[in-house]
Amino acid sequence: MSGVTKTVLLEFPPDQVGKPLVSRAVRGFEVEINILHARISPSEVGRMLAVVEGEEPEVEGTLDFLSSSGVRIAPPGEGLALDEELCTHCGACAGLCPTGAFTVSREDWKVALDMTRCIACGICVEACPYGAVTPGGAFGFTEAGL
Amino acid sequence: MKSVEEINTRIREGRAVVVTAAEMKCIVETEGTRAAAERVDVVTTGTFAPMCSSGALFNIGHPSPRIKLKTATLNGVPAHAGLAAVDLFLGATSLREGDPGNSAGPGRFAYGGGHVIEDLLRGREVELRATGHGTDCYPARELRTLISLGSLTDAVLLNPRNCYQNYSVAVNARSRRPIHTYMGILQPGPGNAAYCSAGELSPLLNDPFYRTIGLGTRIFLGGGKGYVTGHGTQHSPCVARNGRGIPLGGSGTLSVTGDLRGMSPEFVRGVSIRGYGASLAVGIGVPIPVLDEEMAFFTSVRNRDISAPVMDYSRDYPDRSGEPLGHVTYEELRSGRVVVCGREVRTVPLSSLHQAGRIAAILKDRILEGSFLLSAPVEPLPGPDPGMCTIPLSPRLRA
Repeated sequence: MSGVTKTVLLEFPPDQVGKPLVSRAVRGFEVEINILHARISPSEVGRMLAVVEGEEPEVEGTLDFLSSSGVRIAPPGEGLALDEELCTHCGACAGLCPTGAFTVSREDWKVALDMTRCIACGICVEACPYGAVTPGGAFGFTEAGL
Repeated sequence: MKSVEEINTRIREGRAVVVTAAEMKCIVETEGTRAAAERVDVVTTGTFAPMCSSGALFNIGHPSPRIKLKTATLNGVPAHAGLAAVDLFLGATSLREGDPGNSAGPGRFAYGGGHVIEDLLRGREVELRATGHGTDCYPARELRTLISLGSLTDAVLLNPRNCYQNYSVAVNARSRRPIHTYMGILQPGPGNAAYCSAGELSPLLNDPFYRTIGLGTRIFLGGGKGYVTGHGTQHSPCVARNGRGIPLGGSGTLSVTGDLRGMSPEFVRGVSIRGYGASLAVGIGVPIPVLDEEMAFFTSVRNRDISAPVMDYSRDYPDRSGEPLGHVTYEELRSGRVVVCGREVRTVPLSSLHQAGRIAAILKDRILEGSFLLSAPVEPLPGPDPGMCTIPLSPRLRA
């Protein structure tokens, strides 16, 4: 059986944030969980970008466990939306993006977004003067939650 | 040696050689300034960035009964009514009434004067609410109506200061928390460095001594046609310069105007700067006639020839104190990383080089097709000689 690696965005409802769900998942299944980015506060919706690695049934079991515990799971890259019509390609997002999800081409100086690198930290939403980056996608991010 | 009139004749005859500022760098590099000056007639420049000292002047037309405007808001954004009866000036940074500002953390400043201007350009209707004194000649005391770009008697972009010739690079050198400035989010450390100039494409950096740009210069403004009406506020030509004449910090500025009709929301955009305020991003392109070899030399300026001072925006800038932490070139800034205080930091651009390039290209096309002719300035901008500089304010009160 071959190992698999899954990158997922996890959303913890406020009543689950206080529980050690990730710890329980690691104890209950033969997986490694690498947390790339997390924003967790007491009594608020928590968000985490994580890589889950292990044999396929173990990875699936982990995600099923988290899901049955009330954690919403989505593929990465659904936390933000870039409106190409509103973007002026200034590059303010790229200068602040911590993961290099936003880049500026040195050919035509256009901004590009690689959603697979996005950890939904939201700094681009704050940085964009033109409202071109908005929270959205699978989690229906509200700006206050970013 | 060529005159602007000779160049215009060549444009009319379809014989003019027009190149963008980006193209001119390569031409001068391969052919030299003398050959470039002989061959090239016009170099088009461009810039697109938030320019806070901007606004729009409207004449809304007279209603019946007439009104002398005392207060007015457009989509809830206050406009200045201290003009004739139905004239209004809407500043780009004017903020919608009731905006929470920074009262609950860094505000969004979601809607301001710049956004109203953009909405009008997008063909949207805007709600005007106004009050009047009620006079014998202007009896109405209240007015509420929808307006649109087409319904206005006049709609003019009127920007007292645009197009800064070079600008400081902003860092957060002394605060331990991220700070929110008009140069964007500055992380502690310093963790990043924000800058705002199109560098080698920028109009005034291609004519550093304002030989060809002055009152009356016809320009690309916001996608339409506009004019330089003189030097902008805070025009400071006496800032120290390098060997090529490039100012080592913010110096020259332009005041510009143009009919909003004919402009495009692609190049006139409302701006919301987190924790700072609302503004307007403006696209400007200035055609520079290559009158002689010296202008060929000036328009060949490269990012490596332009350096900007790095300023601390956590303490020095707010206090109006301190010296630059260093200087960096636009070549370094554009590379994505610069060294500040011995530490490598990421750079954050606020000026869109992509848009600047498009503006220079569009202006080039308009000149080539003969729909845009050059104009020689009626009055030059004040240069370094007259000793013009900004005067700091020392508040004082009546005894």
